[in-house]
Amino acid sequence: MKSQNSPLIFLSGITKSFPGVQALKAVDLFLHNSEVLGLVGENGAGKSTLMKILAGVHHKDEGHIYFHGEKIQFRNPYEAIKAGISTVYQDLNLVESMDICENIFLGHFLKTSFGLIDQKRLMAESRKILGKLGLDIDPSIPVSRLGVAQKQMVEIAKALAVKAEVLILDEPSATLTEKELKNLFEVIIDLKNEKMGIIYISHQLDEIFQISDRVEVLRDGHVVDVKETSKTNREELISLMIGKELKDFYPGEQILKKGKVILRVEKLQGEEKEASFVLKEGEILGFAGLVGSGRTELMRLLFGADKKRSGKIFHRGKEVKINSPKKAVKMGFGYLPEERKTQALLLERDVKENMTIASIHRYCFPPGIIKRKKEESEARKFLQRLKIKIPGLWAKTKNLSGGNQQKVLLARWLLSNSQLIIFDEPTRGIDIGAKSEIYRLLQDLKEKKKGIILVSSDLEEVVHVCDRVIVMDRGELVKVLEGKDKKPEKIMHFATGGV
Amino acid sequence: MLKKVFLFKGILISFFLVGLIVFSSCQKAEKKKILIGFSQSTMIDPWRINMLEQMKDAVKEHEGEIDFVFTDGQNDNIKQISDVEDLFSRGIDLLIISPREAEPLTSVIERVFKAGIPVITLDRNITSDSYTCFIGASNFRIGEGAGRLMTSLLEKGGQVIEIEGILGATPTIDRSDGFHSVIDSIPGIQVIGKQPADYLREPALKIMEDFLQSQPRIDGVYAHNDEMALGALTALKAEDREGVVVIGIDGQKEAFESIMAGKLSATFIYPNGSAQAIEIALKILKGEKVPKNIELKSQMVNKSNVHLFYKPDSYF
Amino acid sequence: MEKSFGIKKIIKRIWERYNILLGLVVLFIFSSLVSGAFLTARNLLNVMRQVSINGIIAVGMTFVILTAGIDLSVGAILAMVGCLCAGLLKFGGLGFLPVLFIGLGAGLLMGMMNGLVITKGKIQPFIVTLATMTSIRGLAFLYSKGRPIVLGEETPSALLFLGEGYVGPIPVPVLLFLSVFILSSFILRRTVLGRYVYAIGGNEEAARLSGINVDFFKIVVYSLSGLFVAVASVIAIGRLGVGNADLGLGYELNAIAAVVIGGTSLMGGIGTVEGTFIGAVILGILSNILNLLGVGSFFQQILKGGIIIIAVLLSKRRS
Repeated sequence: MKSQNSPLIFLSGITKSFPGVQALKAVDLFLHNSEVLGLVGENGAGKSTLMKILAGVHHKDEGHIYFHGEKIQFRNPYEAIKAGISTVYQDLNLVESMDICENIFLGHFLKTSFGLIDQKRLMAESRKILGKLGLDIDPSIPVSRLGVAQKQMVEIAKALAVKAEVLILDEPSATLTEKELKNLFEVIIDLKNEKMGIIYISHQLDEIFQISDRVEVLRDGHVVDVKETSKTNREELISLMIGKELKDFYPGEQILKKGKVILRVEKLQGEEKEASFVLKEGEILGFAGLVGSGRTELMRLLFGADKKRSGKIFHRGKEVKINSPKKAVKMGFGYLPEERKTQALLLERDVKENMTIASIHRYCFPPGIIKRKKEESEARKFLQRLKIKIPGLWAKTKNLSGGNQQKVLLARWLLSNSQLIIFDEPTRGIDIGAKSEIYRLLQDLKEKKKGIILVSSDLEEVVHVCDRVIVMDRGELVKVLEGKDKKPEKIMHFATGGV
Repeated sequence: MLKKVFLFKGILISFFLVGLIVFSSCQKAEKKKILIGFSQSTMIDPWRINMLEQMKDAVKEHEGEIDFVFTDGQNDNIKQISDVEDLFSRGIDLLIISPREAEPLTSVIERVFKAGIPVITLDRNITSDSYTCFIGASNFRIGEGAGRLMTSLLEKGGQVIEIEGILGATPTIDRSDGFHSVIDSIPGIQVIGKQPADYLREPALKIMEDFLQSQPRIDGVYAHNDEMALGALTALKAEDREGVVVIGIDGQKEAFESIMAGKLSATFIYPNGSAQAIEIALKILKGEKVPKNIELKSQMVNKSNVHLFYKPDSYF
Repeated sequence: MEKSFGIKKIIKRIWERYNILLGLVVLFIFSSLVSGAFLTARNLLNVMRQVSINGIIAVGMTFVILTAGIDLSVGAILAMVGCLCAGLLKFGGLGFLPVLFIGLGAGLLMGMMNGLVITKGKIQPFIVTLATMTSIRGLAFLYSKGRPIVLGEETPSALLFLGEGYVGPIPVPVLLFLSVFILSSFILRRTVLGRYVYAIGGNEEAARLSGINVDFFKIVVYSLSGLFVAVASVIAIGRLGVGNADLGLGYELNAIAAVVIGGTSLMGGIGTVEGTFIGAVILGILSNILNLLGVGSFFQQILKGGIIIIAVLLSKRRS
């Protein structure tokens, strides 16, 4: 299986600190040809920093990098790519307005003998690479018209185009559907057979077990352990990652207390099909389905973010007209959108402002003028209640980890005293520790009799956290699952067109 | 938050420092030569650049006697007011100014004048008598002259296009009013269109092209300056319209050449008076008495007398 | 945090954060050294008065740019309000106070119109205000029939006071500028409007999904810009004694320059009026010292362009 000669890549004693943070402490890592190395750890453990050093984005303070046994030092990402180390980042790096083929060959366009871009070859090569990835799309359409999952494939195609020897995949699965993920794994195995070395970063331990040969665990900037994947298990990895025994990952057994109906939706319709459902106090209602099944669209409709065509919404028995998010917020709704960074966070502003933006009028006297002390003390309460670990309220949210960002957003809606909170993919891209805390908080909200809607692609999560699960398929609510029926297989069955 | 507070404090501190230095300092500058400051209203048209160049030449003749500084009002009254204030701060002994507009500049010039600095207003005057000497030609009278010339060249009457300078600027108004004071009383002649081209050639060309499309008959063109007249001529030539009377104002070299080539009918020299201004300035500073108003005479130039005025090496 | 202290790092940090202010201080010291005429009370007060009109417009522009917008129509609004006020005073037979309120109201209204077209028509601010810049300027020419409306001796003393007057040694325009500045600083730091302005500029969709009526606050911001322009316009006609349709040509660019030098991002969400204040003062001092030194006007323009680039480079490194 593995070639036992000198490793393709050997990182030795890599140390790196940022102002105020020791990001990596003497980290070792090696990678062979034809090997998939899983890299796991909580957010902030140093995975990304380590990979960015390898990719030439950051510079190490101490330590050495050996590539093919030779000591090297990349001054910038371009040098790393040229040497054969490609990285596919979690937040995609595509030029939206350009064509797929242009993106694939960005920076090293195939040229004709006249120095012009050879469009024909560009198209042909792009088609070949996309074909390898099992992607049947026309390379001449602009990237902006692709879905998130397809964009990710284009990112991978970019790496293939430069004939990389080392491929770093940073959370590649976060936005992929089951089918696409399977496809990706097939591609990875192909690449492995072509002697490529692959570093696979993921929070999804299932994937690590499926695809990796070895797995390296980082915690707080140092290597905790390196295991043969076949000789470890899920529980062990999680314990290694969080540094303590794992129990009650999904807290509490879900007992649905009979509550009053908070929300009744009747034949609500926007661009998709009609939707009707009911949400009770103290209930966590899950929405499951494939990417593109219309879950987010429905939530945006409910929150007044998009225009509805028809249908009625009843809030505590009374019909309400929600034609803008402002109205929804007034009704006591809160919404944590799928795309945190582009739809929810004010990245350049501090934590306090991000928390209080939806409830700012509560800290004003006279109206319109903010009483800063009151605002600050209210925000601080939630800093403690939600256990947000940050230097202070003044920290810019763009510098926070995904988990902390999510908690800040949750604080936003708790501060505005929301009775109904919609969570759209709240745990995507968040590390295990933070995930478990989010689950605890959901449980907490449930006990406080809030109504909760949880949209998630993580089937385990939906099944364990929700009281009822509504399955969506192609814009339609196809099935409500509860009790014993609430199983991942069943969800998958209905989500993929089963009856 | 911390940062903003610091920034705010920084501003306060710098104000404090400014105040401190202000009250503890006073101006001590020794001068031997006299310092003349010239506030030009704008430098975007060649006529005004020429004015400055000729003034610099006049200053050179008195090297050793005079120091000379100038500012550019950038075609903005408020900027020119600032310029005058700056020149005043600089400690000039005499101010020469060609105001962009009369009323807006009056107050600041009054302030300089009342502080004991002699003021020569050039080309355009101010609305009060707080100046030492005004040197300039009358745009109104040049407009009249152009009107009379147009009348005599179009004996049988005709349709005339007027290409105006910058809308609302005094010379535009005067050149137009002077022209109309003559032409409006002549029954055979009608001004069938007027458009501003900001004293620039390229817009005048476009405007003329449009008129040529919309007006089947054009007998005369009156342009508020030569640049625009030359632009109009280009358009006429492209459409092969011949025998159209084109009159300009300013008397720039290229206009003379055009007259010699038989294209431009006539132009009126608009004297800039900059050489006179330096002479008058020296007289004032020597304590000699100078007249309050010096009107520069304009000169009509056509094919018969153009050779007397054409200087091949002139700048303008 | 503890580890990162060290003289070098402290200096670096101070430089990164306050380089605009340091730039001003350096320019100030430089100016004092090279010209004896610079550091006099009279000259400095003159400079501040010269800065006032652009400064007030730039403060309003800061609000607009913070929401990731732009207002190119400020110069035209300046001219229109000026003509309107002068016309009403001269021909309308109205007293100063009614005219003042009509003028300010007109500025506010024109700004509001910008905001309405931008939000309800969903058209980019650049395009909308480019159009209104042309139309409003045309309206001003139409209203004034292309001729300056000369107030001259008829200028009300109150108007003259606003443009030319002094309180103690301080020119009134400077006091108005400071008032507008302090008010705006307060709005941005301490009020809901200020919070929303940063939120909208930083992430419009996030602001909307937080329950902010984005359209409404954008309209408010453009109205505010129009109102501030009207204040500047009153000062201008007080100084000039004339309402003229060619007033303020190109002022939108001066205002944008002050905002940009002050470190505000054209992408919105980042920036302060304090920065804009400094930016406007830097432009004023620069123009003043170059005049005092007798630097040719063409060279002055080149230098000013250079300063803008340098300022943006500095603020880029900062963020």
